[in-house]
Amino acid sequence: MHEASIAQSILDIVARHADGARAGRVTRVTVTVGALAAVVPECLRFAFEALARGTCAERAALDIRECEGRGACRACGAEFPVKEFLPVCERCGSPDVGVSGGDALTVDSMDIE
Amino acid sequence: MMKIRIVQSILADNARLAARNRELFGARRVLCVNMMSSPGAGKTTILEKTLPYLEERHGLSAGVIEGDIEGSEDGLRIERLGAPVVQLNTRGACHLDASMVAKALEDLPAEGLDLIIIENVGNLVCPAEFDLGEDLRAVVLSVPEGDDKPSKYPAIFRKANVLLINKIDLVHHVQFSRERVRAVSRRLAPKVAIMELAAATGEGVAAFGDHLAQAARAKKEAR
Repeated sequence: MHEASIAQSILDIVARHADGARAGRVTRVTVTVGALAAVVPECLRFAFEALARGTCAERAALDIRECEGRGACRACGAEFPVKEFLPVCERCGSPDVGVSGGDALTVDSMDIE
Repeated sequence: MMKIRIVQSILADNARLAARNRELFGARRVLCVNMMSSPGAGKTTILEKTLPYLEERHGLSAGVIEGDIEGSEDGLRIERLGAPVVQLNTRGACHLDASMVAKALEDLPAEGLDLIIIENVGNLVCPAEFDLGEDLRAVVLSVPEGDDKPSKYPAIFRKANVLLINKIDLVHHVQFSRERVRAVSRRLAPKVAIMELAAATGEGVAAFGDHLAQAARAKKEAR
């Protein structure tokens, strides 16, 4: 359940920016979660809703955007987006695929009133 | 309604503290190792065998940060070796983060240590996400856990610099393909150094100790 720590970090960032913007209420928070970040969106949402109670982001919607990693096949050279840790090449089926990225965790924007 | 663009890493606070830890390790020329595994894989037993080996064979001193949800059993085991140790209790948190390590560092001696080994909370999922400022990540997989663990918990194996296959003396008593573990681990982390050991009997401890000693010396000599 490290999603709770991640949800708390999101709320800390949101609170800092809400203070700076003199926001009354935060209605929506948009985050990007990499497909290879080992973060379960449902757990993140559950933790976010629970931890947001009593803060400026209480009842704010959490939009989670997934971002993919990049796969590069060492057998045939094909490049393609990947959502799994152990992908096989889309073109030749080889399991010898180098994977990069896909582990982003960012707060992108928020809507305030 | 107004939209505010933020674009900030969620783990930026942890990354900042991890960078500060890393600077401290650099200034002290100390090698920091983050050891991760599921509960019961043998992290503490590996330390009980590796620390005396580092001291006797290489003349290197290690301090230990013990991460556990509760209790001080592991800290006491390390203390019995005579090594400096700080026991951290996370009170429910499933991983260590950089701020906890920063606090623990205040209680370790600032001089005379060549290595600091962090024994993370036993958990094959959560510790993978949190940079502590370490130089080297060692993941332990013990034979009775099964050879499917790298494919079922890929995030942590993807980040491993060293994979220790522990309790290798049990390999003939359970279904376990070391080839499968090696192949999947290499797909996740092509540069990972894979070592087999049986900490309880001491088998393979020297190879791991030599690997750490070499990395610790490289860090001492780095400019």
